[in-house]
Amino acid sequence: MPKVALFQLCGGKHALPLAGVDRILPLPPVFPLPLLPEPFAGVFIHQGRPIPVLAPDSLGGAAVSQPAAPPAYVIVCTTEFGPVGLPADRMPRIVEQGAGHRVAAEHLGGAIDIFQFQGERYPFWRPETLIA
Amino acid sequence: MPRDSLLAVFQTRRLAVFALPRDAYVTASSPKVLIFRLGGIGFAIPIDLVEEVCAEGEVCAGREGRELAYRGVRIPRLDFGGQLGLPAGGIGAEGAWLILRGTEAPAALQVERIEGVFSQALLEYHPVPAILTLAGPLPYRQLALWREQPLVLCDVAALGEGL
Repeated sequence: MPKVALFQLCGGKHALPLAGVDRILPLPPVFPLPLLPEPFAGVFIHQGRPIPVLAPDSLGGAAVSQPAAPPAYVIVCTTEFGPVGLPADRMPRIVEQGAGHRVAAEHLGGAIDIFQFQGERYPFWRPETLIA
Repeated sequence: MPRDSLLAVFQTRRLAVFALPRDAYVTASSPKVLIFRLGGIGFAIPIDLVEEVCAEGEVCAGREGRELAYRGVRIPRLDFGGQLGLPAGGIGAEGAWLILRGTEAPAALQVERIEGVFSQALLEYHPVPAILTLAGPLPYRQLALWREQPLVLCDVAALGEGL
């Protein structure tokens, strides 16, 4: 049964297919670099490699509020262009996709649909849509 | 000015063209790099490209800030930080000037702090992640990992293009 990672970022709730996630770890220091395109905030170093990380406000279309603390975790997703980190306010919750259900949605700025779980609605992202 | 050519960044009608020698690149024959900070970001440059390191009081800024008096000669001041979109105003007591060797004339670069000169064997080189260049090339091609932090490797090849 495929699994889904439910996470919060800047107070907004989101979902990712766990199949597209390489690892989840506490967010290391993020280093800015010159002239980075949106939506990237910089890179962090993991196992001797620089990995780009998205800015906390990169998931447009979701409810965004100012977080009380910076993101504590990073979800490293696999894309055809290499790994990319997506920050998360706290450790994501992992659930079976069958425990909720996906419905089509519009105007979510890139999310393909909604994952409904226990009465909550999570924009459901694919890793490649994060950088589109 | 096009982002894909740092040489274009440094060219002005009033200043001599500054171009770094094409063969000046970090290879096994360039054993040391100078690491400095500008805009809070770390940079590494082959030490062979650095003619001199001067303290703040050892060079005199020109009236318009675009040139410096260096050993009795006016040399251009590179606005490296400005063209890379780095925050200005970070030069403090640890500031210094790098006099960079060029094919025609030296040029001066003001930095926030010099971390030191290190063997390049202490650095691990990585290409800039491809995902960061999907929207267009960046004016630097490599990162160097040093003490678990990334440094922007001053891209000599990019500087040499456009001549």
